[in-house]
Amino acid sequence: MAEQQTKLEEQTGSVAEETAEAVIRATALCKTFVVGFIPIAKLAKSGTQDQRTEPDPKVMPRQVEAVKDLSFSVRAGEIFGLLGPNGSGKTTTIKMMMGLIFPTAGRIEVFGETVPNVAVKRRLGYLPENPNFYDYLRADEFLELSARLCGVDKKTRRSRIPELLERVGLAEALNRPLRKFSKGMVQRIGLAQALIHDPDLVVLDEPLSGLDPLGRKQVRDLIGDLRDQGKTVVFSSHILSDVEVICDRVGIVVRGHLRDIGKLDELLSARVTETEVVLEAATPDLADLADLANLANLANLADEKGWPAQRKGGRLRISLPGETDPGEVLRRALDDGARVISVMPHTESLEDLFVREANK
Amino acid sequence: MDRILAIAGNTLRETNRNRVMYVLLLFAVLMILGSVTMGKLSLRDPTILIKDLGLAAISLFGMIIAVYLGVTVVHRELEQKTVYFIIPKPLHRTEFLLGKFLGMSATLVIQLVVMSGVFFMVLLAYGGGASVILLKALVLTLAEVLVILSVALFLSSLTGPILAGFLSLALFVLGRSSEFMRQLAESGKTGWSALDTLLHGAYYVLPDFHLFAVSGAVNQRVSIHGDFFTWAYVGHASGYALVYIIIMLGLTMVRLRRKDLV
Repeated sequence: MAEQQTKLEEQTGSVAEETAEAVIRATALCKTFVVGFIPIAKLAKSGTQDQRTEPDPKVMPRQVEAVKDLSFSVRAGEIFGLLGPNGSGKTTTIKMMMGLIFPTAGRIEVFGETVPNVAVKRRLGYLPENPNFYDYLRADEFLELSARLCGVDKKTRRSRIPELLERVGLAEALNRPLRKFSKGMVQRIGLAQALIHDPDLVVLDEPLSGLDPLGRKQVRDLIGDLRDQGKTVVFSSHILSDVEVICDRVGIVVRGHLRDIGKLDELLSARVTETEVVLEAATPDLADLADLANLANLANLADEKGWPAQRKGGRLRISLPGETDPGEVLRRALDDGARVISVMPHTESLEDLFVREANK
Repeated sequence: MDRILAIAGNTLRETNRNRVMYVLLLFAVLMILGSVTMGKLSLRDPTILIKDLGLAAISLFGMIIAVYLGVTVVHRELEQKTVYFIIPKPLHRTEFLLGKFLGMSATLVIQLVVMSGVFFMVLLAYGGGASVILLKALVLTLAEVLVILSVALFLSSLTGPILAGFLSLALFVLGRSSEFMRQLAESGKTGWSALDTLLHGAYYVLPDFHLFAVSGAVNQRVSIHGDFFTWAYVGHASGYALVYIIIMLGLTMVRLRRKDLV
């Protein structure tokens, strides 16, 4: 645990060094919700920024620590994915970014300013999780309201609203009230309202949920377009295959803690789940009895070590678990005159990483 | 300012599409029409009773609508999570609150105009006429319902809508009795100085809805049948209403400023 913490500190530290261009910087962020009718005096005292208190076990039943000591930063122009199982604290973190809730301790800055800040909000677009909008409004009325709230002038509104509806695939629903929208359509109009004022930073909480594969592709493409325009995108998601495609960096949050943060290839390449070694006898048809014996010896070696091995004809496939050094097997095979067909390290997928971190 | 107006306009649109408002309005109209029957049964000039009952109906239903709006509109934003859309927009929470209050006030103005329209038509049909004194009475009623709205809004920031609704109604009853509390405290009839102090304190802290009580018997402080009911009085009462509304909105803002919108 201490090792993991040190590693995290190194990672967040290295990010902090680059924060000259950091768009979001969270430092030791904590959020504790008080459960129950009467707030506990001890907890009420802890509500200052930059001041951390250790949770008192006696008051634990009356409080829920949604986010604990979370530090990360997001650089300008990158697509940052916030991953984690349900209830891990992703949405709470995002709500703190948006100024919807306030940290119990720690600090969150967006564009160098502590939130909530109106000047910051002008550069910020936000799609909430499972959004619910004013369903009595038509799509165009809703975007008109969004634009007015964001201070978009009338002339720009006139061109931007149809353009955005087209972009999110709702051009034909212009005059339809939101109460007649499907879940996927609500998600799309939510994206449109987040982009109405052409923000520099777009924060999307579960933007892919409720969308069919076509809709997901459209949203992925849209996020890609935003990157091409130099925008910064932060989003949370459960759909890991999409995250793998879209994100430059990810942060994995589990039970309120940031477990891992970094570029996907860095996080995943460091974790070899198994190395598959395929060997072949010098005479693949095993005409030579010595070759047969050598192959059997290699299979016995795998058996002794407890490595799964599979023999098929003149080929032997050995799976070396974790990051086991394949040197011993390879040396033995070469000494015995066998041919090495392939040595294939299998790295973790994002799903493996996610599941492992979630189960820790 | 445009942001406040945008929120106000949206609130007005929302409340205008609320069926509960129309049901309340219907009851108010029925009560105003019912005043005709009561007027016919009266031994005196029927228009006196029509005026009294009509204004009472407007005041009563105005109050009910104000409490309903005050305790539900902002609460609904939180419950239906539309607040997650609006608060991250480039605006202060104060602007959100002012926009909501302005929108609800506009709704109340429309409701009062409709009720007053029916009231004047009934009055005209029975030989009465629209007079300046009735206009003054309606201005006072509007001031009163706006104070109730601000009180209900503040209470809804402290507790759930049902409790806030009951508390608002209780405050309305107490506020209408404020003159009685003051007189009781000053008469010393209670025999307890602590109770007198309490009644005096309540008189100053609670909204003095008695200021706006325009219908009723001739021995009331403000009666539409009296001639001392001047524009200066209306101005004084409206000024009081404005100060009370500002205090209530200020307190609501204090509550809302650092509230976690979970």
